[in-house]
Amino acid sequence: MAGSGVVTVYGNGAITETSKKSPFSVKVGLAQMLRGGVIMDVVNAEQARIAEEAGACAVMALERVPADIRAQGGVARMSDPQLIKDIKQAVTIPVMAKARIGHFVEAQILEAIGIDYVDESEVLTPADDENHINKHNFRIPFVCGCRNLGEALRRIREGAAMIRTKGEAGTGNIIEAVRHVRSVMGDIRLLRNMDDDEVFTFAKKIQAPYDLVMQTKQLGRLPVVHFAAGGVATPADAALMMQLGCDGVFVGSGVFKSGDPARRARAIVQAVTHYSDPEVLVDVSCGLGEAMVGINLNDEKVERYANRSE
Amino acid sequence: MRRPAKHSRLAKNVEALHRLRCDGFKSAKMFDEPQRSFENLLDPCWPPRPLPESLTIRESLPLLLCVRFCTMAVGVLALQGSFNEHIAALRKLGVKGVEIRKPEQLQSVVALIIPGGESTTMAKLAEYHNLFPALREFVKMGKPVWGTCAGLIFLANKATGQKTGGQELIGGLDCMVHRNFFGSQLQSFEVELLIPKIAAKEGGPPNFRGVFIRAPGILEVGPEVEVLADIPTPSDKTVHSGPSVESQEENGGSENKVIVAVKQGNLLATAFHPELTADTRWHSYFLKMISDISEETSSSTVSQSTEDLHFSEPPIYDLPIYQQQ
Repeated sequence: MAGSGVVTVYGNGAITETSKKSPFSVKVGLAQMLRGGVIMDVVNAEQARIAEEAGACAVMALERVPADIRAQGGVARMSDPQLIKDIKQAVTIPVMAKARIGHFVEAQILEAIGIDYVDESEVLTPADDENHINKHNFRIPFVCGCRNLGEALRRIREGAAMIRTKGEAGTGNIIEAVRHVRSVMGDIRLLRNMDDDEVFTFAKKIQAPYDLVMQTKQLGRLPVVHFAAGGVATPADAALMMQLGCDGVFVGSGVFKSGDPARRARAIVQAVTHYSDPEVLVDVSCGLGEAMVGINLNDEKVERYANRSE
Repeated sequence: MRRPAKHSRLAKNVEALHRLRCDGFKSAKMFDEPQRSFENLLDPCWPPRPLPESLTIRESLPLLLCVRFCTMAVGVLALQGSFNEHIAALRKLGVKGVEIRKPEQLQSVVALIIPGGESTTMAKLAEYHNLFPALREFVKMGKPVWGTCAGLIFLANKATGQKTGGQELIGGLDCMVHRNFFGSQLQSFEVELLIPKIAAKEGGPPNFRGVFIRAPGILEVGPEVEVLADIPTPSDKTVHSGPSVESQEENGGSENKVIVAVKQGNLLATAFHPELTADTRWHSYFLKMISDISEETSSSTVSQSTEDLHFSEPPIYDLPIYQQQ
């Protein structure tokens, strides 16, 4: 654009403006293929195979699952690229990996490895406390966390092609995930019944770009695929997220911190497909062994990862 | 089974179509007569209103045919993946899409779409709920089945590039499919495909926006398979192939072209995702495959009145369709 004097009208193409090499439609497309599926955190090739065998639609390659990051403390960073490569070699389903918030070089490295999706995640220690990665600059698609509608739409404006509600990772406690999903869905219901004249002020209030707020109002849902995450530990938790209106579920520590990971993984996958069929949910929930130990979030000392970014 | 007339206000239209088929074709001239000879035919919009009396039979036929589409239910395998997008595309054409998750649900539909998604995930879920025998039976009965992307892999007789241990397939389509032929998400792309055969039947421009997402490719096809579209092989393909690729398909390929859409009898398969575009020609092409069959088997496909479609259903919110600028 520089020098030509041509200015693109802001918001004209909603959120589709991006580099030609990888149009937004292709980025959203993969997320659409993941709908109705479960994405599992894995820390090595063996776990990745268990996840694939159980029917996960993608795996998230990590060095430590969120529960361990919480227990061990310290700074959590992007995983060793070698580990991610090994996991990529081991499975044929899509592989995702986490980059720190605002750390665009980690994202460049992940893009160069050739994985399928980058999670700009609050579970890792943020690298930039004010700015997120400008995701329009990448050919690789991004998924980002949110706690409410405003945060979701800000991330989409930055170029995220998929949204997950943050929940509270590594706690095995679903309460924050429910809070965040209800907040997003509730705001969308509010927005849908709103007069068009009121949308300007609403956009200001939730600090989101007006064009995306308007698009959300017209669609009646987020304009990209919307998963739930953070605290899912049982098939019932996963089905709850689906019934609240999510397109799919991320399961972090819930699977591989439980007594029988293969069985639990399989049960959660089935629960997401048959989320509205209680009889199937009974079948898959029986005899799963021990669930992960949860953390009570009434305790003020528990660090809130969800509050690490706005 | 056809419902009694009082249950469907559009039953008259169906009746009229049936009469047209029985005695209407005797003289070509009758197509130019006004349709009022059939009395109070209804426009298939909702609420139904009478068709203008001045319309000729010829002009009102598309509207009546539309009713036929309304009255059949097409199943969409809803284990995982882009089944919502397929149902939305069908809805645009006035056809009801039914989510299929269990074997017994297959009995209520005249055709099946297997959507895109992760084929390993879908195979696992189908296996958990013992869907494979029912699906194979469905294909064997000659009912139309359309697979997109993961669905193509399902329908193929042979597949390579699978996960360790392989995966179960439905089979039926005489071809060899390579999973993730084009590589990972970074190699996903959009391209304008030439689709002369579809354009000839459905009209519209000769090209189609094909969205390829970690897409499979068809390496070889049997003699009975009709090729509907192919594209040039990307030159850097070999770099990104999966771990279990044999080297033979690189030199054995037919002039560096890879097949991406095929039809064999009542099976249709595409490596790309027509459900992610606004162009519904592939869907209407598939629907015509159904109506071609039901012509032979009388009106047994009429199983649903449009009334249950429009009342007391919660509104449905679909994702937008993103266009390249």
